[in-house]
Formats: sequence, structure tokens, C-alpha cells
Amino acid sequence: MADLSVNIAGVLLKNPVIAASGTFAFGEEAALYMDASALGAITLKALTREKRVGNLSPRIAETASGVLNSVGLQNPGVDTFLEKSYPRVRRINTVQIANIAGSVPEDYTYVAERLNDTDIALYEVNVSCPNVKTGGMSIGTDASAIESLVEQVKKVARKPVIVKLTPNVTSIVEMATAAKNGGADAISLINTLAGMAINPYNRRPVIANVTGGLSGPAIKPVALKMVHDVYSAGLGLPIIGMGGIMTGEDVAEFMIAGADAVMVGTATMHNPSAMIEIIEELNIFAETNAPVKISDITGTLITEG
Amino acid sequence: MKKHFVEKVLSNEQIAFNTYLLRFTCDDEMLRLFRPGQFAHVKIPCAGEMLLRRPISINCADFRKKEVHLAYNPVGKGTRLLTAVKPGDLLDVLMPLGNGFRIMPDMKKIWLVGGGIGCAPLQSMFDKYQDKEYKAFLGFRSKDSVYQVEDFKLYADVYVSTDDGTCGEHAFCTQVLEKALEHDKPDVILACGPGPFFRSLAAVVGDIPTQVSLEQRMGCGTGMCATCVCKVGGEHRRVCVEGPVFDIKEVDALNG
Repeated sequence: MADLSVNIAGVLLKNPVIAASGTFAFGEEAALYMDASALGAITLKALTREKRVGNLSPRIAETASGVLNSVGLQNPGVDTFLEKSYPRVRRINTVQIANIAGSVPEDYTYVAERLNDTDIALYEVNVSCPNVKTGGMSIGTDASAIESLVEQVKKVARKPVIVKLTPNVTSIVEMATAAKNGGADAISLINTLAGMAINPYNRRPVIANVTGGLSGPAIKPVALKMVHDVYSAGLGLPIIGMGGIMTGEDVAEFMIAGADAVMVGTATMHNPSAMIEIIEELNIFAETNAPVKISDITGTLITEG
Repeated sequence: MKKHFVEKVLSNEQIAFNTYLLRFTCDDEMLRLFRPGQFAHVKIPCAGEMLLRRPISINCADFRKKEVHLAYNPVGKGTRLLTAVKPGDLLDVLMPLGNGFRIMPDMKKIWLVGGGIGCAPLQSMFDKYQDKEYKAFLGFRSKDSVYQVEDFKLYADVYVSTDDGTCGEHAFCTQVLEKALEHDKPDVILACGPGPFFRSLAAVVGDIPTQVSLEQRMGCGTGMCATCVCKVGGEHRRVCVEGPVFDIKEVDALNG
């Protein structure tokens, strides 16, 4: 076994493969299909201050090499989560990341404070959900809003803060810089690309919310380029890359582009044990291509000669 | 692991107009977990660019031959590709998923009400519960879309109806049910069919306990992505793990 361990803002992960938020629920369902403790970390489904019922169905559509979804942050609210789910979730034997969402900064700080006393290792601040009217992406497309929000969350958070960025912006580097200026400890990117699907026969959108977020291999080239852009900007923050990762080679590509770790989402919908297979493939890749540590390949893209 | 299998296709043949029966192998673990009304989540073979599996109700879990049957309508790209699957091909399938019908020991008289492809999951009741007093109300569009009626007749009094009157009664199966309910009442009704079918059903079942198997556009099938929700009891419930079978009285769209 190659050394696949990586370090994100002082938190050691046994490998760089992290379950992406929203595709792994609170980690409990996975047990019927795979051993979640083999993962580098799991990111819990977004938590908000109040319960969210989410958007109407249909919430999902298949597109060419992609998936369009619009769940709308359905979750029981952080207090119910702590009472009902967390006692079981905390027993999942790997690093846990809480994805925090809200409409206004006070929502985010509330959730962060409520989670401060848990064993959750990292926070991921969601400023990139394309499927809600307030908060989410409306913050993530405004550099000064990102900076201000991150600053407020950092004031109360007793865990390192990752900021999850949306690709639906003119300059991803500007947004990453704003997150850094606000005090972010790491960046994760990309959330889904805003998109839509139409049934031409009934002239209706396929998903009830009309628009949704596109994920899967269809967006991988966009995601790689954005990770490359942020890494090249030299902000010095750890980067967690994601977007259409299906194989161990895909992980290596993101790391070469500049990612320290990756998140995997849509692949899990296709195959519930996809992340386990991806880790096995990455291990084989590392034995020949990163003989000392997998983290050695981060940011090693060769562009000359 | 436990609910994820790669199985061998035994046959995949058209059994009625726009209706196919896919048979494949299964092991003891699947049969041990199986309950009527559950579904399989099938990866479309040789279609790597299609990322979502297709949820298809289990039509038969044959404990003796150790095989699973799925009946399906090829209605979209994925299910149309599924018709090309041949005996000997491998099928990647998650099963058995969902909760299935809730059958209590005191439920003796069971009436099955199915519309079109919705008849398929009802058939699987006979794999587990043979000693019930069954009536089956099966509705089809037309004579050429009728399937498996003979199989139902092995265990049930069968009432076939078609929308155009070309086979059985010229009526919707819910109308045939309504008439039968004037003379007799079952302990429970189990039903599956298209959207309009459920609304007519809700209007005729009265106070009889009625369980309906719903469908919804689905992602993972494992409860993790929360995309396949229906409003049940005022909450968005996941069809894949909290359904697909719900009490008709709790399905918001079928009440009020």
C-alpha cells in the first residue's frame, strides 16, 4: 500500500478521497454497500439552522455524462440532527466534515456554534448551492459577501473552515481570494454548474425547480481547469477538488492540477461503492507514479517542453 | 457488499405490447432479504455515459430457481437500451431496495389492484404469501398490452379490464374494484399504477387500509441523495428507502 495520506488544514486524512456533501446523506445508509471508515473523510449533507423541506419532485434528471439535481438543501435542521442522527453518525470511524448552509450569515454562525462541541473535524461553508433562492450561490457569486461571511464564521468556529465555491462565476480566483481574505483555512471546488433539462414533447423542464445543478463527468474538464486556476494563483490554501471524479486516475488528475484532496459525489449515485474502488485504483496509480507519498503529486502539472 | 450484486441474465423477452420480462440469477442473500413490493436498481449495461440506474419493481423472486424477474416498459433511453440485454450478459443491480408491502398475520383477504406495468410488483406477493384469499383487479390499455394474467389466476380470482374493451371488462380497473366493493371488503388493498390510477383509487377505497407503491425519478436508490422524494404525511419522504410503498391516506397528493 502506497502512502495515500494527506493533510487538510492540520487534519490528517488516511487518503484523499472524501464523500461529497449531499450524495452521502449523514453517512449511515452507506453501510449496506461499503465500509465508510475506508474513506479519507465524509462530508455530511448540508445543515441549516432551521429544518428545510427542500424542493418539489422531480429533483433529478440524467443528462449526457451528467446528472442534474435540485434538492434544495432538505435537512432536519442542525438541532434535530444533533439530537437524532449525530449519536450514530459520530461512530462512523473516519474524519467528518459538516457542510454548513443558510440564508444569512447568522444562520451559518448558528450552525457552526452548535457543532463546535462535536467530534466533527472540519466545517465546509456552502456558498455555492444553486438550488436555493437566498444564501448559497447568491453569496458565492459576490466576492465581498464571501469575505464577510467567512470572517463571521471564522469568529465563532472552533474547527478549520473550508469554503466550497461555485463555478458559476466570472473569476474563480477572485472568489477563492475573497475566501482567503475572510480567513478560510481551505477551499473546495467546484459545486455544481447551473443547468437545465427540457422535455421537448411536453415543453416542460424535467426537474420541478426548472433549473438545477449539473454534476458528473460532463463537468470534469471545467472543474480541473478551475482547480488549476486557483492553485496557480498561489494563495497557499489547501484545495479540495471535485467534479466528475469516477476513477483513481481522475483523482490523480485533480491532484496534479493542484488539489490536496478530492470529493466524490455523482459516482456514488452510479455505484454505491465507487469510492472504495477509486481508492484501490489510486493506490495502484501511486505505487508506480508517486512512490513516496500521493501528496507529492499535488501541483506537479508540467506545461513546458 | 450486501445489497449490490452482479448477476447473469437468463432471458429478456417481450411479453406484451411495449412490455418486457427480464430474468436473471440471484443468490440466497437476496432471497433472504426480499419482501414483496421491493425494487431493483439496475445499471444500464454498456452505457457508461448514463450515470443513473433505473428503478424497476421486482415482479418475481423465485426461491426455487433462485432467479429474479423484472417486468418493464421501455419508455426512455435507458429502458430502451435495456431491451438489448441478452442471455449470458452481466447485470449490475442493487436489490432488494425499499420497504415493500407491510403484510400482517391478520390480513387474510388481500385485493391487488394494478394498472399496466403496475401489475408487476403485485405478482411478487405470491412468492412469499400463497395462503391468502386474493382477488386481483388488473387494468390494461388494450388486449395486446395484457400480460401475466394466467400467473395471477394460480393464486387469485382475477378481474381483467381494458381501457378500450378489447379484453375483459371495458372499464378502468378502479371502476371494477368499486363495483366489487359494493358486495365485499378485503382486509387490505395493495396497489400500483400510473398517477391518474392512484387518484381514482383514492376516491373508491374509503376506509379500507390501502398500500400504494409509488414511483419517482430516482438517483442513488440507497437513501443518500434525497432526490426521489414524495410528499407523505406533510414531509418529503425518500421513495427509495422510506417507500416505495406508502399508506394511501398519507400521500398528500391523493388526499384533499
